[in-house]
This record gives sequence, C-alpha cells and structure tokens, in this order.
Amino acid sequence: MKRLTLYQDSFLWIKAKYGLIYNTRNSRSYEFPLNHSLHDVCQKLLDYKNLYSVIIDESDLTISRFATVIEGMGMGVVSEEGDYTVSFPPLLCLPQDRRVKKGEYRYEDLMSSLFSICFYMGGMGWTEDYYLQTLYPSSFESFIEPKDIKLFIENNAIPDNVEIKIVFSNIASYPNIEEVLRLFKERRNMITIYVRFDDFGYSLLKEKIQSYGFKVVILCKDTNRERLCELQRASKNALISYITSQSEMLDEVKYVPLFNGSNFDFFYKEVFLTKDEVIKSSLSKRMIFAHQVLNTHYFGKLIVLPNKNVYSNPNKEALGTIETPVLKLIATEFSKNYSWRSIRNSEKCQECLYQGLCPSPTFYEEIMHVDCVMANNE
Amino acid sequence: MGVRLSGKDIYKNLVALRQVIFEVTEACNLSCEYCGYSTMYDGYDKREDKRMPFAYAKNIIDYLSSIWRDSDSEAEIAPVTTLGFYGGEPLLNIDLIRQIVSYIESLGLKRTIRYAMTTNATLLNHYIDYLVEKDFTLLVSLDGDKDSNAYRITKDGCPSFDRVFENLQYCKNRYPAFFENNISFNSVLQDKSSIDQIVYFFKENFGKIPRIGELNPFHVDSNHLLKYKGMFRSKMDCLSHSSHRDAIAEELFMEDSCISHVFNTLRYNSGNFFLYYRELFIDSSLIQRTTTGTCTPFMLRMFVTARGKILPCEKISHDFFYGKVDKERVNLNVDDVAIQYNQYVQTIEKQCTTCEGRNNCPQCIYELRNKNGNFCCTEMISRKDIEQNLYSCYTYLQKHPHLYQQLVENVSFM
Repeated sequence: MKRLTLYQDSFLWIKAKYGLIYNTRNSRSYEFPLNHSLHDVCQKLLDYKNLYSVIIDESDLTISRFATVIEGMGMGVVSEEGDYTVSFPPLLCLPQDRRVKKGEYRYEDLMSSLFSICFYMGGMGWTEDYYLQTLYPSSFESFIEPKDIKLFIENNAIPDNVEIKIVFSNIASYPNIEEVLRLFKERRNMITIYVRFDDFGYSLLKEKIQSYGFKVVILCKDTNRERLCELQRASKNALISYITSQSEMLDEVKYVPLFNGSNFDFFYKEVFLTKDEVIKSSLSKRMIFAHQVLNTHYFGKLIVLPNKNVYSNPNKEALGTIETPVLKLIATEFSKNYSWRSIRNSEKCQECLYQGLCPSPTFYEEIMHVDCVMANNE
Repeated sequence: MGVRLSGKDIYKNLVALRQVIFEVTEACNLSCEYCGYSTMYDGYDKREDKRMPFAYAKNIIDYLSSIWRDSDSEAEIAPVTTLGFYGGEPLLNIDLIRQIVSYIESLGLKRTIRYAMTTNATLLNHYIDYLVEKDFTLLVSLDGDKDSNAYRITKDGCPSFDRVFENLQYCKNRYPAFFENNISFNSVLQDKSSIDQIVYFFKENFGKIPRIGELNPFHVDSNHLLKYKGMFRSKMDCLSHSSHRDAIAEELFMEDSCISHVFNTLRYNSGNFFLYYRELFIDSSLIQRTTTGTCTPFMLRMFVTARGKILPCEKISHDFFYGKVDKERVNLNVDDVAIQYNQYVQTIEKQCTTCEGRNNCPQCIYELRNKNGNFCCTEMISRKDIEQNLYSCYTYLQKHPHLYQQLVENVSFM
C-alpha cells in the first residue's frame, strides 16, 4: 500500500463519470474516467478530514496508473503509507462572503467593494443599444451634467483609487466639456475618457483633453485593417474596435464583440472558449476562488446612465440614482445580486466537469439567452 | 518598505471607528496582584484614582460625531460604534457613564451606538437594571472558582470571590436572557488556577466558556520579575498536562492556543484565506502591507484615559498617545498621527527585512520597545521555523481531522 497526497495547489473535481485535476502552479490538467475504485479514491481525497491524502492499493492498476500520472504531472506525490506530506485542500475562507450572504455586511464590506464607476455622458451617439452588453457610446436623449457628477463624487467621498470611466456618445455636442475636464483634473491618473473616433477628429477638443493628461480610448466600428492602422497613427491613443463577425486583427487594437441578434456562430467560433482553451486558461488559485464567489468581469463596478440612474447591470433594475448614497447602492447590489456575485452555478454548470475553470458569466449570455459558453462542450 | 499612512487613512479609520473606550476612573475597589496597573508592571501613568471629567468625554464625542455626521448618510449602512467603559472599576463612576450615554443619545446620530463594559462585577447587583435597560455587553473578570481567584482581593486583602459569585447569580436569576446573551467572562491563568478548573467552573455554574488569557508578559517591572515568573502559567503547557486535553481544547476552540496556532499557520500558508473580496483581485505579492502586524491608529478602537490621553488601544503603554483631550478641546491632528505612526514603524523596518514572517507578522510594535527606548523584535522567524510550524500544524490536524473544515468555514478573523 502507498499514500497519495495532492498538493495544495491542485483542485480536484468529479462529476458523474469523469474527474478533473487542475494544478494552479504549473497550469496542467488531467481528465480521467471514473471507475468504482477511482471514484472511491477521489471521494476520500475530497473529504477534508483526510487532508488531501489517502492510502491507495497499488495492486489496482487503474489506481496505480492514476497515482503515477498525478506525480508525473507535478500535481501530487506518492509516498510510503506511513509518510506524510503537508497539504491543505483548497477550501476558500472569505469571512466577507459569509457576511454578505447572511445580509450582515459591515461598513467596511461596502467601502472596500467599489472599484470603478462608468459615467455615460449622454447625447446622440451610435444608435444601437449595445451599452447593455458592454461599454458602448449608444444614443441617449439626455445629458448628465458635471454638477451632478461632482455632487455624487463629493457627497460619497469616492476614494481616489476608484477608477472612473467617462463615455461620450458624442463629445462634440456635449454642452459642458470644459467643466467635466476640470472636475476630474485632480484624479486624472484614475480617469479614462472614451470617445468615438467620429468626434475625436475635432482638434480643439483633442488638444484640450490631452493637455489635461487624461488617458483616452478611441472607439470605432471600422474593422478595415489599413483604416485601423491609420486611425492609430492619427490619434496615438488606445483603440477599441467593435466587431460582429470575424475580422483580421491587429495586435495593438482591442477588439470587443457585439451580439447583433443573429451572430451566434461568430460568438461560438470566435468569442466563447473551447474546452481546450478553458483547460489551458492558466488560472491561479486566487482566480479559481474568485470565480467561486464573485463575477470577475463586473464586481465592484457601477454604471451611471444619463437618466441619472445607477446600475450594476443595465439589463436589470437600477440600484438607485446619483442621489442615493453609494454605500446604499452597494448594499442593494449585495442583496439583489444583479451582477457582482453572479457565478457559474446554473444546473447545467453544476453538472459540468469544467465548472471550476470556466470564466464568470457576462451580459452577452443574458442577452443571447444562453447558459453555456463552452463552444464544444458535450 | 511597508505602507506609509497619510492623514486621510487616519480620517477613514475615525469614520469607521468600531469602538471608543473611556477610562472613566483610575480607581478600583480591588487590588488584584497581577493587574496591569499594579506595582508588578510599569508603562502606564501612575494611578491616582483620577476620574475622567465629563467635559473630556463630551469633547471626544463632539469631535467624532462631527466626522460621523459628514459621512453617515443612512442608519442601516453606517458603521456600528460601541462605547466601552473601562477602569479601574468603571462602575465606581456610574454617574459619568450615565452622563455619557445620555449625551450621545441626545445627539440623534444616524449610526447605531452600543455600549460595553469590562467589570469585576463587585457592584453589579447595584446597577444591573440600568445596564440591562441600555443593553450593555459586559465582560466580567473572574478567574474561576474561589481558589483560582486567590489573587483577586479587596484593598484590605480579603477575597472578592463570594461577593462576585453572588452578584452573578443574582443577575442570572433576575435577567436570564441578558445573562445568556450579554455577559461573557475573562479569566487570567496563573499559578493558582488551571485550565481544567477554569473551564469546569464556568461550564458548571454559568454554562459558558470564558476567554482565558495569560499574564501580560510586557512591561513587567524589573523589581517584580521573580514574582511574575512565579505566577505565570502558559496556556499551552497547562493544556498539554490536562487529563482532558482534547475535550477541553474542543470546548475552548479558538481560545485554545494550539488551535489558534493551527489557524494562524493555515491562514498565512495555505493560500486559502482572504479577508475581503477585493483581495481576490490582487496578487498577494503585490499587496502593500504595514510593517509588523500593528493596527493602524484607530483601525479598531480609540482609548481615552482618565487624564485625557488618546491612544489606539487600552492594552499598550500610555507613552504611545497620539493626542490629548482637555476641558476645552480635542488635540488630535490626523496628519500628525500618521507621521508619528510612520516614524515608529520605520525604526524597525530594517530588522524586518531579515525575517521570513514579515508578510504575515502578528507583532504589535507598541510591545516591542525595550528598556533603552528602542524598538527591537525578539520573535523573528526563519524558513526553518515556518517549515516546523507547518509540520506541527499538519500533525495536529491529523489527530483532529474535523478541525480543518471547521476552521476554514466557520472562523472569522480580522
């Protein structure tokens, strides 16, 4: 008899007829079919009282092979029955999560959870409502005024380390651009301004924004390679190109997909991950834990629309308005969970062997009404 | 280099202040021989039975409430702050306590204010009605049965146990729900007591498990070192000699020094422990930490002495005050507090660079000042020490396998 011990960086999952071990230190994974004896070994490994260590019968060839592979892949170690290797099974301890789930959050739970605020300044931008999927300069009938933003930030003593995104649907027609720029001058390290390329050509504005030292991201719908190179040369700023179909890609451009109602194929082929890509994601222990309790895309982020409502998910109800104290907005999000703690725990996901490695759900899936984003998941 | 604080950080701590402790009197009606204010210790202002003037407490409350008014928008999301009353024996100055409670209630603050007290319970029967009315949380100092309380004597050398025990029974019979929910106990382990006796006594008589502490090893007066050594008993040693070791450890749970040692080893070495969601987004190697494990000023509490010194904790030497209050005003400048704190931690940073435990340090810098006035740590650890800790932690868990999940899933920590 020997002893098999998994390392504390190794995660073990078993679902129905298969098991998966993923080691976060070397990013290697091992998928295996479960027979009766292997299932028994895995159940014992998953019993925390055993501290990730079990006695194995080497005469069982399946188990013997299993142990050899585990050790060979650097996921664990085989030793003599009487020997022990120190190992602590990966079990997340996060007191804040316990408190939030019970609705007993403290003041510091709220304060520590705000990471960024995105202000949509309003005006007539692009016509599609893609802001429901991702940051996008859609059209809005109203504008949000600098004094409203100032009050929101000052009344709530928004900390300096909170990132602020300012999205101009149409910067040329925004009535008080100077006031907005002055408002954020002190925080410019944490500010990013998003403008459509259509508007950024307006040279006075370009100079003004750049003279304040703000980071600027240009938004465009053009996917023509040469045109994009030209845009980059002209603006010297970061560039986002929105795409709805497969495109030839430039390294220096960030491509953001959009669901147009019918391009499911595009998403499954180009956006969503295949099983191989999920397994090769190179996730840290911390990220796997993060996916267990929160949404890594949206946690800590608030969206303010020109109607002065504040959202964590623009596809759901508003958390409040810009007159609502920000701590109250966060408390509401904690209790309603519109997006911040939205995780992969649907019935389908719970049966999936790769649940632990899959990225957090996105607004795309909500709009597309899909519940599995693994392109070739059987 | 550890993180450097600014006045803004101190201000934030004052906004979120969890506890304000008023030393309402230096006077005590007992003369416990191991008391931190007895002749066995130094590091505190000489006790002259001074009482805190109401004006001091009022000025502190006014100072803090103006900060809180600016920040508290709604009651249910504002911090909860506890007013704690300390001594000496605080019940000797019940009039001041009533004044303070009445004053803060008159302000109509948005945040929830709770009340707490550490008491020797000798006067509990006189004031229990008021304490119940205001829903006080009480921490009662009692070392176990009569023999174990041999050091807890009155000014004329008589044992205090009988009176205290009678008062507690009175309180338990008159207000059973309050006794159950609001009263806890603190016992000092010394040569007249044992952990077995303490646990048995409290379970039998009150159905509770007390907090058990050792004699304070810091600031022992050199003239009383022998006496101290004679009285001192280590929790770990006591427990290892206990005939009911495992059962008692289970009862004590986090009060048991072995279990809390295991917990701390897991916390710092397993990669499974995170305080806030925020930490899941940051690689731990990139988190800027404070030097040593010292709380930043007013992170947990503010302690105001009867003489008007403002300190970050009631357990540290009074030399480390950050500000003062008098009858006119509060002299507490958040920028100066940050500068002072930064100066303290800077003096020890060089030492920390050679310690393997620097990213998970439990040391309190206020306890590290030696007789020469320099900060000096004697608890530095090597890689070998860490490995030894891990091994002993693992060995303990193998003998108590259910503990791992229990510790990870149920224990809260700061």
